This record gives sequence, structure tokens and C-alpha cells, in this order.
Amino acid sequence: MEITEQTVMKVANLAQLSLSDDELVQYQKDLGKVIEFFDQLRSLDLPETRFSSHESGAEREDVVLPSLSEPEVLLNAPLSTGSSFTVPRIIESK
Amino acid sequence: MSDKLTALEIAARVNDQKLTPAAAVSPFLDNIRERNSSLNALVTVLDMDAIEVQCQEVEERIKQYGPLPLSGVAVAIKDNISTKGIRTTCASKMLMNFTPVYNATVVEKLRAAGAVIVAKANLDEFAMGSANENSAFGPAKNPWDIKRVPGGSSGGSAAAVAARMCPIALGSDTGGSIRQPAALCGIVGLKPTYGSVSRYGLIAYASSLDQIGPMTTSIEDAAAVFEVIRGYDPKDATSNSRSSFQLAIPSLSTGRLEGLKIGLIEELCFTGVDEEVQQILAKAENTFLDLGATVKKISIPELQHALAAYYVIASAEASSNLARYDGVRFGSRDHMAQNLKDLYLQSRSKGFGKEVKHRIMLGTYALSSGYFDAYYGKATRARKLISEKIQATLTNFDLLMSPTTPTPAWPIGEKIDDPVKMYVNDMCTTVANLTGSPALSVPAGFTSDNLPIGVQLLGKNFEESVLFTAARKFEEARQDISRRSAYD
Repeated sequence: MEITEQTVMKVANLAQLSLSDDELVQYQKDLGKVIEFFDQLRSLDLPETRFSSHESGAEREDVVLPSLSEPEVLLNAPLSTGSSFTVPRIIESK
Repeated sequence: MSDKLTALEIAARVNDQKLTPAAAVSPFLDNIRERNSSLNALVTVLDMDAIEVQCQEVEERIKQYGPLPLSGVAVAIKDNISTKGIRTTCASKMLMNFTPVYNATVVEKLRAAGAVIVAKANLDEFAMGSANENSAFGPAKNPWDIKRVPGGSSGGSAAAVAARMCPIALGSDTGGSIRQPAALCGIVGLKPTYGSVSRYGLIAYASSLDQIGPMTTSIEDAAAVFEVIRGYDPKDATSNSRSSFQLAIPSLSTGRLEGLKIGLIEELCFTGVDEEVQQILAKAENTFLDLGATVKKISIPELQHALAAYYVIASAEASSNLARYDGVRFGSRDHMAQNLKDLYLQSRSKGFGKEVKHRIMLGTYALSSGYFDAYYGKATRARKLISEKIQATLTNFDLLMSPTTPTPAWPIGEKIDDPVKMYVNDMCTTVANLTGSPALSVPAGFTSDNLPIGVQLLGKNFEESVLFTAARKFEEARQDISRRSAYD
């Protein structure tokens, strides 16, 4: 699969990343190489079943246990106000 | 007191009160002061007060409860494993100021066993890499030759143990990240069976592949640390209750390996493997034959696609796991952003390093509409097939052997510009992550340049004890190379 500049830009946008012009060139090259390596899988004739999960763990009772306190939850927030995470305004004012 | 003792020897002396925990830790702290500035293996070293408090706790607990399995054993924790109140960065600008508010289960278990946390170890950013070159702290170096990589992603943990800055360390292994650096630094590394060690508090990279494990200088130490950290944990939904079976450590020192059936996986032993590595593997094969085991070459052609399947799955899971870094709840944030979309874009673009962005985009591509079946779908089907083949092969063999890596440690910077060349170094290790199998890397010899080489033993799920027994015999038979240090 050839990776075009448009593909890289589309993927970056889906992944919430913004790339500089230099990065765009670099990633087009690097992604291209790796996806070419991945292409060996495309032609394989494989059984229909997918790997789903490893042997599953034990079930447990749904019991309410103490969770983190509010100050602990907010401790690593880059910006918080009172008991909330703060983000830039979402609804624009006119 | 010396830095040459194993963790078990240290614990025995501390339990007998012949040695205080503080005295047990001290020579390793000396080595940290002397060696870390050139090796860059540890990114956070705890201050003396924090270490002394832990030492006192261990002393009191021994008095109160009696012997503990890892009394006074200094340990370095890979910096993607959460430590309460101690910065945990994943070697990323994104988490440079992140301080966990809880301990990973493995950290709680180590502390309860009497271990003393002394440092957090360098790694490839978010554990993505095979050389520890993708770190916001700069590369860690290999103690055997500081111009060479220590391997990755647990390169700091491996270098720290190899340089005796701590007798044991914890790493995490998603595609070889414990075993490969262990091999390149001349130490022991175990990737346990998926589900046997709790991942609670391990910062996720690829959740269906990640597993925490020990990195040590001896097999018995690896078994002892595994014994401490394993077990069912209700906080990890993938934790397996079967992992509570008893490990037969006492039997490690008795008997031969009569009747043990070893399969040598042709696909992982020859093509693309350095000649010197092949010679060391042949010598290891002879050692196992001398010990009474049988060794038979086997072919599993499906394994040639393991590496591609692994990188598709790991990248896909990474792209999903790392979506949580949005600059809102934790992690770095671009405070200049004017709107929410810009906040996400700028915080992520500035916070993540080159390889992390690369893998997020690879994963996003592999999962995106129109390509999902061709890549992610195929990879999960290849994974299923490989798992079935490995399980079927293991009905005829007790364990499967290969080199851990196709080459010894390479010069820093040599492979960094070619992602595929870098990924090929993981050709022998990714299989165990795809299948969930336990796999152990054991020091097996040295190249003519005096660089360590490891051999990998892959076993049946939840049968780590078979790996330990075989490796312990091997270690005993090969005392010429076992526990050799770059500083001897």
C-alpha cells in the first residue's frame, strides 16, 4: 500500500496529532516502510477465526469499594477549578 | 557486605539479622552514585530519607512477622510502573510531572516482601522501542560497552542490574522488552504467562500483550521475585486465578534434566541470526544434552509472520490506549490552546516523542475504515493460528528454545533511522507475547567482543517452574558465564 501525504494527514487528524511539514515528510517515509512490511499479512490465507482473548480471568462480585478521593483525582490535572477539571470554553460566545 | 550477593543471599542475611536493611542496600547506592551518570539507567533515584524509612519498616516487620522473602533487597522499578508519591514518567515529556496517587500491585507486593525501592529505571518512551533510545531522558547505555545500546524497552532496568546498581529490577514486556535487554546486558529476564502478574498500575501500551516481570542476575532470584509478584488481583480484569498454583522452588537445586524435551525452533534460530549467536546457541544445546535433555529441531513456518502480526496489534492497541492523553485529567497540556480541539492536538503533539507518534499513527491506520480487515483483522487471525501452532507443538515438547536476540548489542544510533531494521531485532521474542506463553532469557555466552548473548526458553502457560528448573540446571552447568559482571 502506498502511503500518500493525504493519508498521513488523515491518520494524524484521526489520532489528534498535528504534524509539522518536516514531520509529514518523515512519517510518510517511515509509515510507508512499516506498512510495506505489514503487507505480508494481506496475502495470507488464514482461517476465519480471530484471536479473541487469553483464557479469561475469574469473575468477581460487583461490590462497591472505596475509590480515590477528590483531591487525589485532581492532583495530576494540569488545570482544575474547585472539584472540576478545567478546559477551554467549548461553546463559543457571540 | 558486597554488591556480588544475589537477592536471596541478601534476604537470608537480613532475615538472620546479620545485616541491617540499610547496610544491605548501601553498596548498591554506592554503585548508583558511581555508575549512573555514565549509564543513564535510572531516571529517578529516591532520596536517602525515603530509602531509610523503607529500611526501618523492613526491620520492624521482620521483628514482628519473621523472615520476608526479599528483606533488604534494593529494587529499581521501570518508570512505567506506578509508584505512589514517586514521579512516574514513562520517559515521556507527556508524563514528566506525573505523580501516581496509588502503587501498582507489584510495587505493593515487593514492599510487603521486604524489598526497598531505590530508583525508577529509564525506558523507551511508553515502552515503545528496542534500544532505549526513545527516551525523553536520553539513551541508557550498556554496561558492557557504553557506546552500545542496552536493548529496550526495559533498557534502564537491565543496565541497572547488570551494573549492580540494584540486585533486581522490574521490567515490562510487550514484545520482548524484558528478555531482549536482559540478553543484551547479560542478565536473566522473565516474561511471565499473560495474566499471572497483575498489570494494575502498569501504564498501558498494548494491553493484550503487556506483562510485568523480574530482571535479575540469577535464576533463583528471578523465581523468587516472580513468586512474590504473581497471583490473582481483582483490580486487573485479565489477572488469572489459575496463577495461584505453587511454584516448586526447592526442587530447583536437585536432579538432572533427564526426559526434558526441548524443541529448537528453526524459524527463529538461523535466518537473520548472527553466526556467533548461532555458535553460542549450539553450545547451549550441547549443555542441555549433557544434562540429559533431548533437543530436536522443529519447524513452525507460521512464525515468519509473527513479527508483522505483533507490530500491527501492538500499534493498534497503543493508538487506543494512548488516546487518554488529552491534556485534561493528567499529563502535560499546552496552555496556549484556545479551544478544545487545539488543546488535544497541541498537548499530544508536544507531549509525545517521535516513535510514540509513529506507532499511534500506524495503529490508527491499521484500525481505520477500509484497512481494518486487511491489517488488524489479518493480524488477529495470524495470532490465533500462531497460538494454536505453539500450543500444539508444546504437547510434544516441554519447552521451546531459540536465541533471545539475533545479534548482540549494537552501537547507539545504528538502527534508529530505519524502523523495520529495528523491529527485526524482536523476531525471536514477540511470539511469546502473541501466545501469552511464559518465556525466560538466560545468559548463554559472550561474543568475541565480550558482548553478552542470551538464550530464550518458552514454555507452557503457567508452567514457569519448568523454565526455572531447566534454566537453573543450565546456569549451574555453565558457571563460566553465569552471573558474570562487566565490572569484575
